[in-house]
Amino acid sequence: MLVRKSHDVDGTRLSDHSPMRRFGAASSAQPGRTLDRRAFLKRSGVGLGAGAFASQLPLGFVGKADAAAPAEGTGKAEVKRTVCTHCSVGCAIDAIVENGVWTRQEPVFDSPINLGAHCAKGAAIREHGHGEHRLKYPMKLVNGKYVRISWEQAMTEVGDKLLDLRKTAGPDSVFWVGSSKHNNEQAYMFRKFVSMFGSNNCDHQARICHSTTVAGVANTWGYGAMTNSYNDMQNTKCALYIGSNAAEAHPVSLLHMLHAKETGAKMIVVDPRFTRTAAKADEFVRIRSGSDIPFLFGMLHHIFKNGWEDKKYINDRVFGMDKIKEEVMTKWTPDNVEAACGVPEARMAEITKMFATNRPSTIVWCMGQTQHTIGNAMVRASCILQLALGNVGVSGGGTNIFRGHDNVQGATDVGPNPDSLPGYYGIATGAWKHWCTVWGVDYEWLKKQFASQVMMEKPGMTVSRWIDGVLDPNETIDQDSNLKGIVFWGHAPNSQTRGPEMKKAMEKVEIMVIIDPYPTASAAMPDRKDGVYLLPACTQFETVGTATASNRSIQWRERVIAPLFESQTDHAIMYAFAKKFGFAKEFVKNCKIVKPDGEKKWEEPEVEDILREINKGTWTIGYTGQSPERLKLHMKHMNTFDVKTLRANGGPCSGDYFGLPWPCYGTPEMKHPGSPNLYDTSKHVMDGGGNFRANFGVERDGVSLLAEDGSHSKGADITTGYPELDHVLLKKLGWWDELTEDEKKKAEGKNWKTDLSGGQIRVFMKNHGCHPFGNAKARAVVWNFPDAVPQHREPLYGTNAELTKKYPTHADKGGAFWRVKTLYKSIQDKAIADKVYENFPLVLTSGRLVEYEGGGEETRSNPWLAELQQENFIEINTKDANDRLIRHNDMVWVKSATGSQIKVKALVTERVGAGTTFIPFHFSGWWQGKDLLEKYPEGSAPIVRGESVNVATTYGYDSVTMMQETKTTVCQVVKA
Amino acid sequence: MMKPINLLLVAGAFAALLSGCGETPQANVAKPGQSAAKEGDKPYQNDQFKGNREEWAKTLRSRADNQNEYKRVN
Amino acid sequence: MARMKFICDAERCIECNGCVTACKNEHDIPWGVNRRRVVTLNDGVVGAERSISVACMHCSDAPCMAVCPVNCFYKTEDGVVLHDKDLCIGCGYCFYACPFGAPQFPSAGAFGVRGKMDKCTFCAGGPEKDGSKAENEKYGRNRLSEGKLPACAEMCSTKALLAGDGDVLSDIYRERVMRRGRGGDLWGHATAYGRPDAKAAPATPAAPVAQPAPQKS
Repeated sequence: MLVRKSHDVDGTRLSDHSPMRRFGAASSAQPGRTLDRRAFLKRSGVGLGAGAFASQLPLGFVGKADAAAPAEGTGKAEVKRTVCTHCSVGCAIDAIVENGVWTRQEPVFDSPINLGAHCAKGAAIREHGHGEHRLKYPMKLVNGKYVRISWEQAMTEVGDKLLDLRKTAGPDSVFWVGSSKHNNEQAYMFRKFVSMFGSNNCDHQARICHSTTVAGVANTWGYGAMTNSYNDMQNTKCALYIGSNAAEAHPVSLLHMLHAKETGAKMIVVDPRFTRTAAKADEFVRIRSGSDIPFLFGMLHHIFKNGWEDKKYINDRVFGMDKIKEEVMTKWTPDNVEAACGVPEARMAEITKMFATNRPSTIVWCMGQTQHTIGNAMVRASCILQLALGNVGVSGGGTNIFRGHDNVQGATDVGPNPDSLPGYYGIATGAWKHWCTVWGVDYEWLKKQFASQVMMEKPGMTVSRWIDGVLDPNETIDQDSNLKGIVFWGHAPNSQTRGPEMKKAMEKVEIMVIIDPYPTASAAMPDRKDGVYLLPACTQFETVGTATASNRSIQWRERVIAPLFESQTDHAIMYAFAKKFGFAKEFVKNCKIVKPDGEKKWEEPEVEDILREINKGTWTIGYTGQSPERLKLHMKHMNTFDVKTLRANGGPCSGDYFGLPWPCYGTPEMKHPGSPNLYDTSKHVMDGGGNFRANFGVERDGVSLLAEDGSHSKGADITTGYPELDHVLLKKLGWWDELTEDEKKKAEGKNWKTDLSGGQIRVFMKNHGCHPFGNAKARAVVWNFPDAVPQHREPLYGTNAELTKKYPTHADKGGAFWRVKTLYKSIQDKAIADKVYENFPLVLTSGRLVEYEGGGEETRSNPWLAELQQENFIEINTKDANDRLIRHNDMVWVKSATGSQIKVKALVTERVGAGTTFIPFHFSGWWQGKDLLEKYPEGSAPIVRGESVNVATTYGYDSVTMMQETKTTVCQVVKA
Repeated sequence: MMKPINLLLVAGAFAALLSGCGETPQANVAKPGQSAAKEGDKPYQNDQFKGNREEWAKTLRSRADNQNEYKRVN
Repeated sequence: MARMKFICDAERCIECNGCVTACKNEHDIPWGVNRRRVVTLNDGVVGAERSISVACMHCSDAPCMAVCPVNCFYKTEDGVVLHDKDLCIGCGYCFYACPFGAPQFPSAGAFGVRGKMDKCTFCAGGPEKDGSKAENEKYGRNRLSEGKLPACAEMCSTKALLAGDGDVLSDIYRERVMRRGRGGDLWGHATAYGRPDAKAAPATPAAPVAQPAPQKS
């Protein structure tokens, strides 16, 4: 029985026969060094399959200590508390360090966020202490080969070249790609750094992950962030995941969801793929890629038809729902919905009922919604659904928007955005003046750093479009010079679309600088002989600082180890460049300069001081209360926070929410506890309560935008809607004299966002329970967007010509849009005219794997992760595969409508429906069939290399934020 | 949500499976003492637990509770 | 007396491979050796896909022990099945006997000659002195002697994989079953431990059900 049973259920054997997406996971990988498993089994005459007989091991025994493993009985083990850098959940980790070597990691059961849990990436985080495949010292491309150079030489040559470009082509001729993997302090300093260089040409990963969310959500109700938290999902009665594969992208979030499910919550997954997340859901609904609006508005149709909407909530707190109702009742009838998204009426009714009648219900979305030419409209359709049901500002409800990188929320909040200074202040004159005051620099001096005041106040280019800033004819560019230099400071290029054009742009610029712990695909992609510099930065485990998790909680990381090899911290490198560029004094005006590693490493501005400067200036979104001292205390007393509410009951942090989730208004001394769920009127503002933001005026078309009577946060002295706080309002209300004399001096003529004393906020919130950003209605109609009422529009490249004619894209845009021209209609029309859908009849979409993160260079360099995913692949439905005579595991060419093609393995599966294909986006290091190994600096290539899906993706950008279209394009697949 | 009847079915399923395997040893399992392996230490014979097996077992039991999030949240 | 067990709750396992890398990390397991792996059944099939984490289950009546020609296995008083690599001759019999495919055979040199068997130790090391360098090199870390449980289970992303004293695990699993109002797949449990844990799923007289079929969720 035992043995027979093993035949039945031996997973590895089964997986040899079933569609399996983990190629090579069972057998060993590296070509030429492995024992062929099948051959071995044949020879031994045994039919049992299992990946047991591995070879190519350097050692006879397992577990042999390597260079970084501990020596017995030496040194004292220290415990350093840090936070995983692989996604936005924010899992805490205790790193064990002996003699400066990171020897072990232990789960932090106390963390209210992850309770000790980790996914593959978090459980493999200690590899950062090895860093075998890291970029180890500065390098320069000489005659097509990377050679080692000194830091001094690198700084001189790179610095001189950038200064030369600044002088000859202007400060806007360099594009600075910052990083969502910088901590808050580095991301903030990066924005300051680029500003002092004299440009707004900087961006980071948020552009291509949730920029449409941030814009869409902020324009709906105030802040561009996840409204609730992973933890709060334990309070939901029904969760709808649409365009999120959380089981792979945010695995530990499923701990909370599956707990909620066990205690009775329903779980619905809507996606073109039957994902790992869908496998855990109560209901899975397959929709056509890119048809989120028809689906969501289809739900709204049933909601209005059945009267499930929250009428009082809509009346009191929502503007424009009548227009939405009119739209969905006339346009999104069940037949139109089915035609557009593929879900029949009965199924729509069933799902809608589940979601609408199990309240509070929450919606989760990720890149599946954001990365479209109409991403801004899709995310707003999701918001509108939640507003109709009264689910926003409610525990267990909300829009739980899962961010990607560990600090992408923080980098969005205070980091390198081309259209805003830290805290979403924008880049108008007032914003610059505010930040000049905080930075302690003269506004006139800063203005002179720029080409002109006009350029100072004009949004820069985006990371999705820098290639066009290089390649487009100069007359179509909305700045003097084309881009001539590109600096990748913690950003993978293969996560951006249009690979072949990017390669051209990389070859055209005069200088490429890559500042990163890894060489990244940027080092290997271009065919250049010179003009590329690789500068080693360290990871977040080699420095201190804060990261903002998706739920807006901010966590302090201790330093685990000293920067490895010749790497430096990002802020040390920025400071060194600031010296070279002549603005070092201004750059670190408020910061102590420290040398954490004595003479071994460079000096740097102290991170605590940078955070204090952020606290001093970022009033808009409440990054002011999170002093380093408060955050460090939270990290120490994690066990005192409740898992469901995130609030500490007793102990040193009593009353605080974990990580002081922003907004944490006022000064640290005001002791605001942070805001666990945004816009929650059931709580007092000093308990983290709130309401929708008054940010769009007080009336529109004669209709008041302020909240109705009685709709205010608990205990507020103003019991109706009100505008945002400024000195005039405070005086009118007769509360001005509650300010101290000192506060009065600073607050005079200011509003809550610019009053550096924090007095206005203190009086308004603490004394009167009112919200400084006012109390208004959320906007179902966003009149300043291209589609005030979200409109479904087909992608530029689609497979359904009829639907494309029915739901056409936008008109082309000129050059004033993020400094480059952007095409819509001309491309879509041409694709239809050329019948592209006939030659490329399959939808191509992309997404994540649990083992890898982002562009993947870091995680594909980690052997513990790399072993689990050794080749890139395309998921293709059985029917599509059979039609093309493609078998499981065959190598295939995926042909793009652009003429490029990539070579990947075929994974034949029912996971995708017929007509749809899927490729994960974490791979790079191959180029159209060719391994680029020899183009990497020796020893620094990632272990696993593969074809990047973005060599096959096509043109297409969101009409508000320049988000790239990665989720719906077309391809053809042929056997290689 | 499933009804208790299904719980019984599942429990029954386990029982059914087992009736095939029974409790009889499948082969001549090496008995303690028959093993040729070196004697390992007891995991509680160290500085941390000082030979106190009960103390060690208690530590492990409370550690195991970390795998039960219902202990911290309902 | 403690009886160390693993159970994997298929209702919760999301195939994130956290257990796999936790194991690799804790014991510095080289490429190609997998003491633990996650297997997905019915991959991509709506309503039927299930994932489970598999390693040595430290069986009650461990078949590996029965077939080992050199008697290199031993069982601790807590039910952990360990072996002595100094005795192991790498014959592979244990691999053929094991219902879980747990034993691994790293190659010791050229021509694919097999080395000593390697497998999950329940983070309890081997015969060498607990926590010693020698033990670490041959078997990996010894967490049990530090009062900790296996890294794979402690770090499981959804607390699907549980490790520890069988009675405690029963309590944890039973609570979930009660909340869900139904049982789930405790894959491999019967094979490893001879019977499903009485407390986890109260036994009733045999019902006419042939298989603990995957639950429709």
